[in-house]
Amino acid sequence: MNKKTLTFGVLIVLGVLIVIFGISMISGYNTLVKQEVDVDGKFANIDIALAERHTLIGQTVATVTGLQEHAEDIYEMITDARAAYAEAKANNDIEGLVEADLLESLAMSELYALVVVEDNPNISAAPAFMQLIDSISSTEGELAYARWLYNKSVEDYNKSVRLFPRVIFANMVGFDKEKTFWLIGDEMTEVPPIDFGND
Amino acid sequence: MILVGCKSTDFPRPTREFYVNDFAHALTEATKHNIVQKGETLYDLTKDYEGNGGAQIVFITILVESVTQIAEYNIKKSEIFTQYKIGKNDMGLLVLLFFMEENEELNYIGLLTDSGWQMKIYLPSSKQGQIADSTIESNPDLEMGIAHFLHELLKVICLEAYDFEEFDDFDEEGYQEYFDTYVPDDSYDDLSMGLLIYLLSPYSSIEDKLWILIPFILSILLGGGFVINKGGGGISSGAGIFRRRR
Repeated sequence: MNKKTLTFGVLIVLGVLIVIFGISMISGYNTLVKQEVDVDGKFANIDIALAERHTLIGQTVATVTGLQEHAEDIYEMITDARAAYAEAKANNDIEGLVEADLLESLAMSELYALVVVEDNPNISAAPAFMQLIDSISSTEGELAYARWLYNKSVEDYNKSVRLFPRVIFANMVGFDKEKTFWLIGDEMTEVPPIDFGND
Repeated sequence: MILVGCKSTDFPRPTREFYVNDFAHALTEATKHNIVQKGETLYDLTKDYEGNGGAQIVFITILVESVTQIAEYNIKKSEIFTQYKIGKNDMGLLVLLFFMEENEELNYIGLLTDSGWQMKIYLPSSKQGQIADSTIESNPDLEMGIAHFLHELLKVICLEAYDFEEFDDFDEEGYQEYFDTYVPDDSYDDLSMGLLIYLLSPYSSIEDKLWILIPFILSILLGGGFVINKGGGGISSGAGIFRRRR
């Protein structure tokens, strides 16, 4: 085999390798784009459900009489939770939103227990209270599912961005090294479901 | 090819009737027939509506060992909904009925619902809760309670989503007569058994056997078998109610 043929052969092989590498890079880039868009979309679902619950909490509290006077601790718990959400939302603070998510959920559990389970004579609720509780419970279900889907999409993205050869260019072209999971707390993987069973 | 077509899931695939999946073996034949008939009618009447056509209501019964097990279905219900692809245009509603065995008897202990994205607009959770409380949750006769529950759900969907001009009130006497006189229709099972016997018979020709086998194999590969009904492609929103019998 003469030198020219050898050189030509090497160039062909190199060319093929470069094409394969190029296709792999393009494919990897597009996959990351799709996964990043998916993560953003799933986050938006959580955001919508949080906003809906926040509104419903306000409406629900308005149907309860005697809360501030006779159950100040729970009233403050609800007020603080709502304030935490509003602040986190205004500052686009994801960690703050995660914390506010848990606080609002726990606050509603306490309010339900106070109004329905404890049957405190100093606390009364309008008939609309139970309908709103159903709506909140439903939104809790939406949130649980939205969080789960979001965390799944984050897991897929985080795995994908570390794969070779994507990892080489991912950071260079502006992809995040990893996305943050929606983690409720150190010991909790999910907000405890609220038992709104009928009494 | 068959193995490539299979997909492992934790939860059983829908039955061929689709609208009722009595995995706990807790429902009577009459109740199951009522649910399937109403489900098929609802879908047939609404599937051609533009934008929100194709409503489906699917019932699943589940046997649990304790009440706390119901909480495991908090997210799983949405996975099941999406697996079953309930409702066209996201106009689906999934109803999970939970049963527990006590003293060799199956007792109803609670329900969870899950709505498609569009269904929850017409049948919000507050409405679902009101309907559940006034029907299945307040009637000691479960069979009548389920029938009433389904009837009221259908009423709201038809009047709110599809602008039906009217919808009859629940006729308890009529349903009682139906339950008392219902005779199961086994004609579909008879046909399947008849085809199988003919397939195995030495009197059927090779050509006849192929004409029976080829569609059957194709239906397994492409559609999961001979199904009567199937999901319209809907996705869960996660929204729904929870009720526990106390």
